[in-house]
Amino acid sequence: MPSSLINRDLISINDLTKNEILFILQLAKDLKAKPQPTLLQNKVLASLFFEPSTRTRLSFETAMERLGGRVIGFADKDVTSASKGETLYDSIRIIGQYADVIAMRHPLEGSARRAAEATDKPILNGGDGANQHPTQTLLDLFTIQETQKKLTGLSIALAGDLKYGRTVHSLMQALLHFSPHYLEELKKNKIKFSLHEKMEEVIKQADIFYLTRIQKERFADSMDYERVKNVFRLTLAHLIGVKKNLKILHPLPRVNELDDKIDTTSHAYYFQQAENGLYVRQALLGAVLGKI
Amino acid sequence: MRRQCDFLKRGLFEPGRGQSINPWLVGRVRWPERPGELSEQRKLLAEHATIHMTQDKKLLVSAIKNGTVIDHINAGQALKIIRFLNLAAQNKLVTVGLNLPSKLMKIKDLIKVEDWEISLEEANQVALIAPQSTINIIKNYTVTKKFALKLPEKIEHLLVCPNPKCITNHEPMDSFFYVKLRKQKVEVSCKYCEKQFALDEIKDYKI
Repeated sequence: MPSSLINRDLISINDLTKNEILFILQLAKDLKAKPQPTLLQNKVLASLFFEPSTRTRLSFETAMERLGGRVIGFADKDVTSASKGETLYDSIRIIGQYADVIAMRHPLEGSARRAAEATDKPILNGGDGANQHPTQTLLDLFTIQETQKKLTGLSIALAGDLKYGRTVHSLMQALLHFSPHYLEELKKNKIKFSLHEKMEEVIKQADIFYLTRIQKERFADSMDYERVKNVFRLTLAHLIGVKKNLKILHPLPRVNELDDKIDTTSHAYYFQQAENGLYVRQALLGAVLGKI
Repeated sequence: MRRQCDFLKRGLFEPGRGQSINPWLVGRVRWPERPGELSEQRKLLAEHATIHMTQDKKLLVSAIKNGTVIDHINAGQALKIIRFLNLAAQNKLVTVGLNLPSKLMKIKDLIKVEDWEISLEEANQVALIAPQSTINIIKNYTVTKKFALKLPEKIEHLLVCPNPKCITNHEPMDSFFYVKLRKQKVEVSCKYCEKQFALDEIKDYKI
């Protein structure tokens, strides 16, 4: 199995088979239990963030450093030749000659797939506009598996910005492998699903409650944003009578949709979720560089 | 009638299934009164005759000696096909018929291009827009090749992704779409931004 991932790009969660996903989750589990500080010695990660990011960028960079590798890159496109009008293709082609693996985020959809055409070094997509964010999906799956000890037969509630939130889109696609599904596909596969307007209607049945921020920056019309920004706000009151094993996940950052009073309850798991990003990204870096 | 028979015998139109024309059959076809009783081949022959000749025996669309005939295009799609195939820029003689009477389709469009042979790839692009159209290659007034149209699996260069945030609209690069048929409708999905579109959502072409 490892050989199929060597030198592979990870652009979309659809690029991975179920077995490959399970393999990466197992690697992440191993790395979480037993760190490997010299695994990627003498390897260089190019961390290219054409759009702001905190967790994804820092966890990619930390993942590389903690495996003994080094990091080059930028976190602001204004300091790059992109600001002079250089095409993404040229930038990646050149940077690919410097680094062994590239992690990138870019505001345009499809930019990661385009970048992958410019270099034969593996590209790990850290988010391309509202399209895909596969490493977030892997860490979400890892966290679901860690908290529920399984990925099948779970009731998963997705709430918040289901239109623009790419983490929700990618997670749904990945969960196809394990059961829940996109609406049309759901019908086709006869998988039970329901749509609700209020979180209260589903939270009591859920094993996983996956809440997302309303993606203000992706709204074309600011009036639309104002209308929905306060619709989903999870508070302590929602947690009365929920399942004991319920875990609340959130890709973070949160704005006001997730009350910080929930942080101290046994249901909050979003900070551990963010930590798991480190192990999943370590697993990916190790796998695509052929070291695991 | 004499003029019509001569015209048909000389093969100035495309016979229905690619066979040489049976003069007896042609002589009988004219303006069928009961089309329901005609064989498929006779129907096609009758239809071609109708296109080329009106009741007052004037030629509507002239026959070509050598070239390509794209027939049975659903009405309104011919200009799109001309754009798709970039026919206007090829300096070939192109005859276009819009909203022509058709026994089979009621009205249809038709394109004839002199001295130009469509490729299989191009024919499949036509299938994208007008899947039921027929494409014949004509040599010396005779059909020498017919294309069995099938949807292409992918379309490179041609379409402009309607997603304004797609990388293909911001970099000097070719677009790339995967094609699939869903509930009898052609759907394309962008290889890059992964968005899916019905074909009529594509408003612009890179030509």
